[in-house]
Amino acid sequence: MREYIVKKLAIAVIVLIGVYTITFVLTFMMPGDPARVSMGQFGNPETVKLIRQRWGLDRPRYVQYIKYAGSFLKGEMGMSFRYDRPVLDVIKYRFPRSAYLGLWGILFSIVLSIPLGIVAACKQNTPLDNAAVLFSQIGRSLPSFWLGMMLIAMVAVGLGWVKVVPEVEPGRLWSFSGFFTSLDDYILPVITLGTGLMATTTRMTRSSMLEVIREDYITLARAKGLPERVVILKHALRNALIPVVTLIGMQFLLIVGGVIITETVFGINGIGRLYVTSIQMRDYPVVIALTLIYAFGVVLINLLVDLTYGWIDPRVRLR
Amino acid sequence: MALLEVSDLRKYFVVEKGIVRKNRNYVKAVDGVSFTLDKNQTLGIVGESGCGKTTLGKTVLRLLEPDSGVITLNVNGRSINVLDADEEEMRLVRKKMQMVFQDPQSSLNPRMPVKSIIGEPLKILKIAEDPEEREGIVLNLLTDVGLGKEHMERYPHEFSSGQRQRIGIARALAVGPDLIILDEPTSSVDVSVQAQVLNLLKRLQETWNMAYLFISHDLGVVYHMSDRIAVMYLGKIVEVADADRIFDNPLHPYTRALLSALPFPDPEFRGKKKRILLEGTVPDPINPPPGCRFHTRCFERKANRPCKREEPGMREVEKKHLVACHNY
Repeated sequence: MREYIVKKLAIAVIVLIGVYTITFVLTFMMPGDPARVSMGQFGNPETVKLIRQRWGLDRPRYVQYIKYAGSFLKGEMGMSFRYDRPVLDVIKYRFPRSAYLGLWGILFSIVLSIPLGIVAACKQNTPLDNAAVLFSQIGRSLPSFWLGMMLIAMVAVGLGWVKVVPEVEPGRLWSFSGFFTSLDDYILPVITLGTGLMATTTRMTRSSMLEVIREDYITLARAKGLPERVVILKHALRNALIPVVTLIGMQFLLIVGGVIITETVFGINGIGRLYVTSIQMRDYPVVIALTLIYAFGVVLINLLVDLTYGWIDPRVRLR
Repeated sequence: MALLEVSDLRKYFVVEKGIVRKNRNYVKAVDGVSFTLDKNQTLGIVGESGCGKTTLGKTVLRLLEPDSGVITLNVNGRSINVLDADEEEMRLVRKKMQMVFQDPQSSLNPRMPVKSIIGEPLKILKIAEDPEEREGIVLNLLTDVGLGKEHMERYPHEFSSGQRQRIGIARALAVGPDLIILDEPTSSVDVSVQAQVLNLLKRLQETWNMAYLFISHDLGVVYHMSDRIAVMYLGKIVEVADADRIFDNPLHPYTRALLSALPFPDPEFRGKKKRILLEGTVPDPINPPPGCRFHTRCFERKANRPCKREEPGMREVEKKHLVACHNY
């Protein structure tokens, strides 16, 4: 097990070097010059030249490649062009909001979709099942930017129940009580982000359950005289959860895209918006840093999913 | 008093066709089956694939809800109507009637170690609630079926199919049943292991005083195991008699055809025995033929008999030998 984790992390280092190189090349291939962008269309050419020197953009590419790599190894991830501060600080300030939104989005999805999927599977082809399928179909088809705007228009503006833009301080979000009370502000973004995820998870749980409850060992569990609740929750669900766990793991990565849209709609100053504006402003260090963090997240979550398999399915031996 | 009495049991499966106008059809998997089974006896049920053997087994245990019929289980001096049993009676039914499934691969939960697979009913049915006591019982059961202590913590995928079937048997034994329904317990293990499993079952029957409902398509195996044999065709029992009587004096044409297909191990007999070849295939169970269900393939149909119109009832032709055929 430990050996397995160490091996995976060693592979992660190679992956990160590859991702760094590709991102570096792609970023510098983008048309547009960061210095020009920051000075505007009518910027003084002399000033632009000075800025290029200051940001090291006048040096050969390979020097810049090594310089960035060095700053990552030191941990500060270089200086942001736009904020004139270490990239790490810029990200640190925004990360809690995005993480909060993302985590609640997934929690919201899991808490609703898994029970819904189980009920739908147990009552297959009843109106209840049809409603669950229809509901998840609709949830899947709604674009999140549209859903977000509708929620703002109806719930926040129309009914006036919640704020349009969440105002909680990032520091409070992750305090013990703040984690739950801040949801007052974040409820609409969480629903916007979670609905799409929920739809997929419901379908997956339902079909996986349907497959499992046809198995002989479920009939056998009933023959043992177990109450139906135990048959479904203990024997069926644990076997049915294997593909669902993979899906949820993948969703932790997919929500990065969802977070970008949701944050833009709700004006949340998080990582998603930072990503988009950094690309627009050609803030190379931030773009590279965020891409690398994302890549590391992919590796880490895949590792976590693998470890969860080992726990859920005894047939999986990690080597 | 017989241990198990089943009378006029019916289980139909609904098949729906069409989207707008639904066409409802019924597959009559078990269509009016009656039999009795005494204590410590084995009733073999034979028939070809799709004749409703497995459905019959599952319905008797109420793992499938039958459409009509009566199932009576006589245990502990009580007479339980299985189909109307309340929760408390059902728990007793589960204790006294168990099942071993055909496919040991899919009938054991891949997520549970052997210890829990066997021990779970002991806990749920409140036979042994103390974990240590339970472990002792499980170990005894495992030794009974020829496995050992080292197998307790293992998972189903770590066993061969023969071993898995032994686990399935140990699991059925765990609650101390009076009757085990064996649904083709040897069809998914290879021949050398088959004999071991069958001998194990015979030995267990003697030590545990159990009755078996032995479902199989293999006549040789059924003969070896059973006191009485019932032959099924298209959801109905067509002939019941003691195992020896069925083999010495088969009456129903279908039984005779089945027996003639049995290979003889002695080469002396090769070619001397007349084989009866049935024509055609088993009719669609959605639309079984009217009258006698076997008349489409019968080689002894007589013109003066109402085979095509009237369904033959079960008649006792000789002592304890019942046949459903117009020829007798």
